Amino acid sequence: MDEAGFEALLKRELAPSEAPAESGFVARVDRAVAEADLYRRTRRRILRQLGSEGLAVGAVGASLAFVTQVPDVREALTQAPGLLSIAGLLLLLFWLLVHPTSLRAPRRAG
Amino acid sequence: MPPERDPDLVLCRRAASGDRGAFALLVSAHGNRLRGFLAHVAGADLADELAQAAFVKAWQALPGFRGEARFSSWLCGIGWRCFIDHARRERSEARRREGAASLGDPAEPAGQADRIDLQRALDRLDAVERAALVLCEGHGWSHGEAAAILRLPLGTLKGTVQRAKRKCRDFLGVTA
Repeated sequence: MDEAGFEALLKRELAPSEAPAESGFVARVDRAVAEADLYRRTRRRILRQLGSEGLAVGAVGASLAFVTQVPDVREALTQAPGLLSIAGLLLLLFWLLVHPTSLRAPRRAG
Repeated sequence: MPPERDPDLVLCRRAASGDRGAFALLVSAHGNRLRGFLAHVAGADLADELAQAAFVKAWQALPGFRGEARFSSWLCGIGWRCFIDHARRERSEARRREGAASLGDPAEPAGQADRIDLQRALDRLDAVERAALVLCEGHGWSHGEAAAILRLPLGTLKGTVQRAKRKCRDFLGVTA
């Protein structure tokens, strides 16, 4: 093979196909894109939810710590130590009732 | 071509605002080109998988695409980086397994003897040599564009193309 033949061979064999991609490939990419979008949205929603709920838990904890510093409350707690557990359980129940979204599966976007 | 008349850029803008139909048109127009490039670089078995991953990354990165480069070269760069990431993963897995996992068997050549010989010659090249050769000699990118796609300095890219061609010439027994 001579130089001209070599150059022609390279151009011919390495040239890209200019035909449009077949519909099966396009559909596969579309599905992958939809899944990647759903994953990204779900991840963002969970992170945002974790952040806001973490802040809420922190605020409630700080409030409880503050309240237990009040002398009358502290005295009541020493006489009935189960009171704090009951208050905690009531708070958890309240959170579960007003925050049902945290238990729902993410909505699938169309 | 002015940006507002570049059909790819118009589709890119629509796709960046969430129009999946516009993106499907881009996939249809550029899918085979990208798969062809990746088939030469990574092997036919991996080309579809890598091209699909590249398109997903392109979709996610589209809002940041300003159109300074052509969409096709930008996409090709993403495809190349998908291949590099894949090769890196393969190497670390192979190290863990302590076995030699070869990266993507080359495509089974079909057709005339010249094509088979060229495929064998390409198989002997490094991935970056194959990529540089395919981009510059096959896809018609300028050295500057190919260097941007492969993220190589221009001089390195030129040297890589020359080296790849020399190796192919030697293998094929090209006479001057």
